[in-house]
Amino acid sequence: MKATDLIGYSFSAMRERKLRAILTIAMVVIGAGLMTALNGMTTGMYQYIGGQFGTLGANVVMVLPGMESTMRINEQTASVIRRINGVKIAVPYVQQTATAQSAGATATVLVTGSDQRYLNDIFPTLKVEEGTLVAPHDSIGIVLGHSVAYPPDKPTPFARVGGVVVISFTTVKENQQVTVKRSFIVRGILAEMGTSGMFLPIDRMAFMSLPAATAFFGTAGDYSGVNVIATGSEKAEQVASEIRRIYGRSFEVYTSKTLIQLIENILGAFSVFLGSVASVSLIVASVGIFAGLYTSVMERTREIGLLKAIGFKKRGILAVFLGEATLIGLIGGLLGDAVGAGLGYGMAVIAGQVRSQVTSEMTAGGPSIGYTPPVYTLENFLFILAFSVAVSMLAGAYPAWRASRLDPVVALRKE
Amino acid sequence: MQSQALIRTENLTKVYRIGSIAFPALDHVNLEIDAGEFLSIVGPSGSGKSTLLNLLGALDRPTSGRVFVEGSNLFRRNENQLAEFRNKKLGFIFQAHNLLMRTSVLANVALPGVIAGESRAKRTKRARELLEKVGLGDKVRRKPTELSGGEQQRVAVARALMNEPLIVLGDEPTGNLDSKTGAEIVALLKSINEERGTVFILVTHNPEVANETQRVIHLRDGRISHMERIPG
Repeated sequence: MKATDLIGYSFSAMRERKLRAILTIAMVVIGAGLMTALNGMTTGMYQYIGGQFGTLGANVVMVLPGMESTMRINEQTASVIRRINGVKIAVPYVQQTATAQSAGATATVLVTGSDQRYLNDIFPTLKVEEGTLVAPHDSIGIVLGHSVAYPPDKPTPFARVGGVVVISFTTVKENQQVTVKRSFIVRGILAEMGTSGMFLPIDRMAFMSLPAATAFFGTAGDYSGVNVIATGSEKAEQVASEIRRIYGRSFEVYTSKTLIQLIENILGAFSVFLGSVASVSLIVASVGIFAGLYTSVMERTREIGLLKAIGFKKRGILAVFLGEATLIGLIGGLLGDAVGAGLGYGMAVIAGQVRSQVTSEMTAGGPSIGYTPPVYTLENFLFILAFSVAVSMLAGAYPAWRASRLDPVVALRKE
Repeated sequence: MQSQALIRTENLTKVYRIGSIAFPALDHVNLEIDAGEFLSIVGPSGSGKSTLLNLLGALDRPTSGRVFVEGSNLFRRNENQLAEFRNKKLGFIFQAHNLLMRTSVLANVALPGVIAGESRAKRTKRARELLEKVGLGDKVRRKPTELSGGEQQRVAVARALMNEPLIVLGDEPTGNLDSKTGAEIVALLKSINEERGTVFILVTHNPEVANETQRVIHLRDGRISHMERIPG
């Protein structure tokens, strides 16, 4: 028997029990569709995060205050780090969320004060679009990220080079809430980085000199962190472990690689959870396939007897029923890929809304991660298709085996 | 070679067991069937007619005894070889429910050719010729459900002939038909037998059908009680 004839035969049998076939295929579509959608969403998320940290130089080591430690980062820390073998330079910075006002408009910005001569070492792709960066001891200059200067949702620019912006922040002094305000002159505007999300939102940041930020925020020599630039990207891990060796768990030390890994681990656990939910639905579908095919074998006993009488071999009968299971998996998997691709977009929109609400609460109205489009890869589509076919064939194996083992004499006696 | 017979059974015995009780359905049957014969097997219910037909049709294996077809021991073959034997050398016509209702008459007739791995063009051509032969040349695209009982049996006849078998086995082929339609089917089988020399072995209850055959084998309690030749 030829393969094309076999497929034709299986197909005609499915058409005879149309509703059952459609329902069984629908179960596979739901399972495969969920897998496709969730996979696409997490892949999209991965790519988004990878892109966010792509702006961070591969030779950068970030040193941040420890989560369970009161030890502060200051100039002494920076000078200890500078002496470590493989360190090119250590750039301390002060960072705080603040409000910027200009010509009646306000914006929330993440203000960073650091020596801007090394900005390009930390963010290799960063470019100045207009004006210049701020000199190391400039106490009134500020550089604005692209979407601070040109808010994407407004027709007019927020500020121009040479203009004045008022930066303010609220702090508590002697149990009183006080707002600290100061005017800065815009020295430059950065080119768009495309990273306005939660991690390193350069487009939504403002940069000033370290002394200016220290004085303005009154941080009294404490730094928010130190960006360490290693002499090469291969040295970054070595430098990071040396810093960890010196300070133990007092500070958090990340390279761009470990940072991505950390976030991917968290995401990975989440996507494993989502993935298992989706695969459970496919396994439920396999029970449906099993029940459907088993019933079919019972109903078609007479047919199986006839087929054996006219010369079908055991493996021919096996192939007919396995062929049906395979067709169910194939059609269900293909439709699932297509339906899931659409579903992924819908789910990403909803997930984006929830996420932007949560993350903007986390950053007090600051940058947040909103909608990230799902990303689909050919391998993913093929994997889900193969998985659907495999699950269907596995579910069809026993009914098909039963059918092939039917005694033709007994089968033919059935009317 | 002991004999020139096309089919020869040697002490063919089939015993069914239900628990500890043994029922001999067929008891040392010795039978020779020559090429070109048109014969019938008759006998009361439970006499072993169907059992004999199932064994001659290689659908079942005997408890003991042998069947030789064209001089070779049939049950020496394994299951796949038996399936191939059924496909190439045998045709079956059952009392009813012979056909796949979902596919066309043409596809039903061509099915043995599909199993044999014949090309679509070749098997369609042959199936058409056979349907023409049984008088259904104008109904090849119909579904079996759209045909009368007699027409459905004609389709079954055409399918039985698809792979040009040596032997066609009929298990009450007219059992579900009125006597006029039944007689027409028997006449059709007879004409094919005369034209092609295909052996027909028909199990029947109906003396009118048996009287149309050349030889009638009477079974009783699993044994051949007597044989009669019908003068043609």
